[in-house]
Amino acid sequence: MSSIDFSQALPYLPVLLKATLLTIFLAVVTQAIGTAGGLLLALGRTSRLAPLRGAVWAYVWIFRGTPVLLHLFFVYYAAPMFGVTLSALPAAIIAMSMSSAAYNSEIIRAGLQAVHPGQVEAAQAVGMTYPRIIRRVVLPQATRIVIPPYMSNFISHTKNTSLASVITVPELMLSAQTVYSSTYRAVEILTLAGLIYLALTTVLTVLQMYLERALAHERRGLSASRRRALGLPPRSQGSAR
Amino acid sequence: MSHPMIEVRQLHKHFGEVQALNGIDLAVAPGEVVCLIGPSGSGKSTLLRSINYLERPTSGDILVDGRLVGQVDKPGGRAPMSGRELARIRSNVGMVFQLFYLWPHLCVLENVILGATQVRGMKLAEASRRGRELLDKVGLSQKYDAYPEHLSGGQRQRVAIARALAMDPKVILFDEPTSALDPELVGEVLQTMETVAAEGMTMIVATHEMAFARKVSDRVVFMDQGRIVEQGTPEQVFDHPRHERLKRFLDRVPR
Repeated sequence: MSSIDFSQALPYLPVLLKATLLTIFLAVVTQAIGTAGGLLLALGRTSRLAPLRGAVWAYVWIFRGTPVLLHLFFVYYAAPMFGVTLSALPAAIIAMSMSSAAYNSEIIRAGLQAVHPGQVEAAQAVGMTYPRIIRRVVLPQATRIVIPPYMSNFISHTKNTSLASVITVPELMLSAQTVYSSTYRAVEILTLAGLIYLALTTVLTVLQMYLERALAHERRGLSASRRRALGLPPRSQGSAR
Repeated sequence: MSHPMIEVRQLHKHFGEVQALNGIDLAVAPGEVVCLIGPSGSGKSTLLRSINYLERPTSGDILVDGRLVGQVDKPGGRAPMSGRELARIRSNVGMVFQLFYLWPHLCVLENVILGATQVRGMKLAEASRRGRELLDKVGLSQKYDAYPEHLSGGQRQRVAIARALAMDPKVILFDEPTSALDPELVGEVLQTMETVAAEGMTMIVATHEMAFARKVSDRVVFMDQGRIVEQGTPEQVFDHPRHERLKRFLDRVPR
């Protein structure tokens, strides 16, 4: 018990990895819902309709201003009052998606507002409708701007899935606790869990670098596929900037 | 007698206390080139931006090719036009901005054809072929795949002109197209505009380039404080100005 001994902990690695799948599931699903929700909220927040702007502002105010841990308990315990009993995982998905939407909406709003209004006017002037302008002019530019803060938030969010352990979602953190409470190898098990979290967030860090590079069109030049679609000849050697 | 391409009737625009436009009446015939001159803040830009409803007028009517813009006649009076209808009208009214507003995430050719593919539903291959023709015409045949940030101001504005032309508009509005350019780049843009004018495009050009206005326009309109003060042929306006305000303005600007 006194010295660190991973040989006692390693046999539990498969258990931890299995729980990691649930962690990944929870992180990806709630981030995806939170992104879609965040986009809608951000569009609402930048809308011309004052009541809509106010409603979105209030949503963000509440969900960003209270702990995710509280949301988890709240959804879990409040659901029966509305006549539904939620098991832990759906409750966690709802709570974490709602919180994620609040944070993502602010990140996306910053991206939308960073696109110069003149860009939108130019699109209006060629006769594009609002949905097309958002899709073809605003979002492609906003996406590039929001990648760093968005991915930072995704990383925080992934780690925050560990909070779902408190409502008994058997994700990585709860699984680690279960294992070390029976093996008394807390330090080793927590080290393994920590390394797994680090691996997950490393994937996200690498993904961020990839996305930033992939979206830097100006530096990389027109891609081969777009070039082909436009009927332009392949780029000759040495003409790349 | 056919109707004017652009007709503006009793147009007023207030920004809070500021009266940017103060009862403008203007009709532009098909194929006519009209230059708007006047001091900064005289309402030239606001007038142009109102024509395609980038600014919503406080009151007054705008008609493009005989069609009311931004409003529809309903039994109970006027109602705002739907976004889709407004977009359809705008697709026939080209606009060239002082600050270009090219879309930085798209290459030059994509900038030119986005409207054709998104609004007109033109096939990409066809739009691309046409876009390249237009870029050749504005002297940018080497720049199809360049991104806007790699172009000079003059090149960017020529792309913007090609982008407007790609919609086959009935009219093109130029909002001080050379005011943001380095002096040595102004000529290439004016040259391009002259070519467009010579092909019969209806144009309204807000400009401080008096030599261009004199050479290219059919009519020069002098605005001050949100009103049209004087208008006429370039000779009338530049050589025989009648109003004191126009005379003072012409004395101050380089000719």
